[in-house]
Amino acid sequence: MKPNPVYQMEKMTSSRSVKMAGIIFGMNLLLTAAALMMLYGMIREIQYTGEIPYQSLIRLYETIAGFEFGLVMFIVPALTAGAVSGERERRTLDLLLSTRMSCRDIIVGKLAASFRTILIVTLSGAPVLSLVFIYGGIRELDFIMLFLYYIMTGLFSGSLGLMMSSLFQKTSAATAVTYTTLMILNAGTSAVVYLIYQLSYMQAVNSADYTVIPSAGRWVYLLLLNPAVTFYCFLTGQTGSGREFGFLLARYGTEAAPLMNRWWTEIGAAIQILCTVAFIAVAARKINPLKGQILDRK
Amino acid sequence: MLDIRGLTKRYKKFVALDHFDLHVDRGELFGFVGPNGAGKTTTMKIVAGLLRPDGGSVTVEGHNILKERAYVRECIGYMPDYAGVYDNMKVFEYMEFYAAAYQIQGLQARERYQQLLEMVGLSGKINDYVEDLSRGMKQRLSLARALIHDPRLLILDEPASGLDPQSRYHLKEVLKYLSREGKTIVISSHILSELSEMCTDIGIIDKGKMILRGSLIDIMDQVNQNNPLEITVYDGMEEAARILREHPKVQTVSFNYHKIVVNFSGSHEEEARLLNKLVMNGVLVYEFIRRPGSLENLFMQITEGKEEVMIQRFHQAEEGE
Repeated sequence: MKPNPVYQMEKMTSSRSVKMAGIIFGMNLLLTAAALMMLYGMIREIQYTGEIPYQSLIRLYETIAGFEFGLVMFIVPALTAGAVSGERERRTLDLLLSTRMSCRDIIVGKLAASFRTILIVTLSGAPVLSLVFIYGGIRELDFIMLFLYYIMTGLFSGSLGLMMSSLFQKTSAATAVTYTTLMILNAGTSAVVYLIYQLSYMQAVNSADYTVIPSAGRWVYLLLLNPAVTFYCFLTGQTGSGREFGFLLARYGTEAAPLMNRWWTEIGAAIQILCTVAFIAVAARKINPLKGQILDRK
Repeated sequence: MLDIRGLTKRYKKFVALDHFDLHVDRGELFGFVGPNGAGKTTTMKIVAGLLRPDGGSVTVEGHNILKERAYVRECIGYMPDYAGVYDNMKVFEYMEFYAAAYQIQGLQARERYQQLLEMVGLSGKINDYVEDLSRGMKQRLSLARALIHDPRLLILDEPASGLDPQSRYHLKEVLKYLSREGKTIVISSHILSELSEMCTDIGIIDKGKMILRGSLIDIMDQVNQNNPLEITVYDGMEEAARILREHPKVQTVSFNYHKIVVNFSGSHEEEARLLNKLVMNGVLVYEFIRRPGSLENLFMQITEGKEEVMIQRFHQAEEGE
């Protein structure tokens, strides 16, 4: 199989750029600072109480994993939101499109380059996350699954950025819309479900016979689109009793159907993978000069 | 080689191409000229498969560009009026990247780009970063890029824009060489003189329509035909006046001392016969000349709205032949 020329070119140029080094350094700096601060707090606690709180080590893992998830979710789009619009700004997109490469080849090359970045960034954070092995409590398989989850998340947010980049002429517009979409997915869906629960709660309070039980009902399934909620479900499945996710849904006065509750992570992950495929297909279609039309062209 | 029929393209209310027709034969170096906004770039982008037309058809070697894109991409080399470069990329890497985009790799790619860089005079810059090259060098690199897959049809959109005279000269020489090598070249410019020095054929486009198309020699002949004959007579003015008034191809005659200005619609041969007749009848002719017409003036006349007159004259002359 011949290597994708766009991927090869991106690999070469990004390795010469300080941007990549800056991202790795910045991310690991934040990750290490967070981990060391937590570890320091734990040691101080041990010094005072003389007890080793193993639960705190799990919290350390959860915190670092959650922190890294957030970084992957929000750093990768910064790289991909300019992938196609940057080509437009440099005026190289037409040159690429006039070659033998198909639109799909170009998009896949761009995504493969960001995939490489995801791998480097997440793997570079592995030593920090490995602090949890000092005392144990997490299996190697959990560790591998976590990295696979990061890759899936990176591909999801990366392909979203890539799609927006193909839809908008300017990188600034593509970046802004990508982050807005991520905010809507991660915070907006929770807010909607919470709002519906609150409305239901108000109805229950105002009802005469007090028989109405406040609940967000089936709206809770909107959270399947929320990558942060699905990650929470995945992570608590690794570290907790497995009931934590049910408690989260109970906050909205409801619970998912048992089957949904059992397979929430898998269903949420499948939705993200389907979205990733759809984003790539839209991006490839949008850069096709004979089919696509960009949105912010004057 | 390239056949465009009834091509139309609109940008909202603006009509960029209005039932535009063009035929370019194999081996032609066709100059595509028109003022800014005339529709040159739109036409070229459509031919290169970078823009969807609203109507009409474009075929390259008989293959429809919309239906057989892969084939058409193989035989077209497209060069826009900008270089389009990546940061942190060396000249040879830039060429290798585009070679790979056409699935040319390894030794074959290396030999090909070395040959092309030699041709455009950039072999000494092979290890330089592309962003450090001058505009002229970037344009030459862009030409080399467009040739990496050895296309049979080259589409060059204002390749000389913004270049200094030396770079223009170099580019012109390279294009002449490519034409001699058998490449079909379509080159656009809004500067007519730039094209008239190298093209075998030219077409003038304005407001999305082709308003004049022909070989440069024919067009120049027609331009010259519109200019009067200037005859300076040393002796025999009366005899000269008689001969000229009787000649069926003489439309108007005016006299100014020894100089006669004649609007003459005959061919080169008839011009020569007229001169011979004057001399044989004892008129001492000191000077007999048709001042060469300016292609720039023709272009200005056409694009300023006098096109109908000019085209009519052009067609009349063609029919006369």
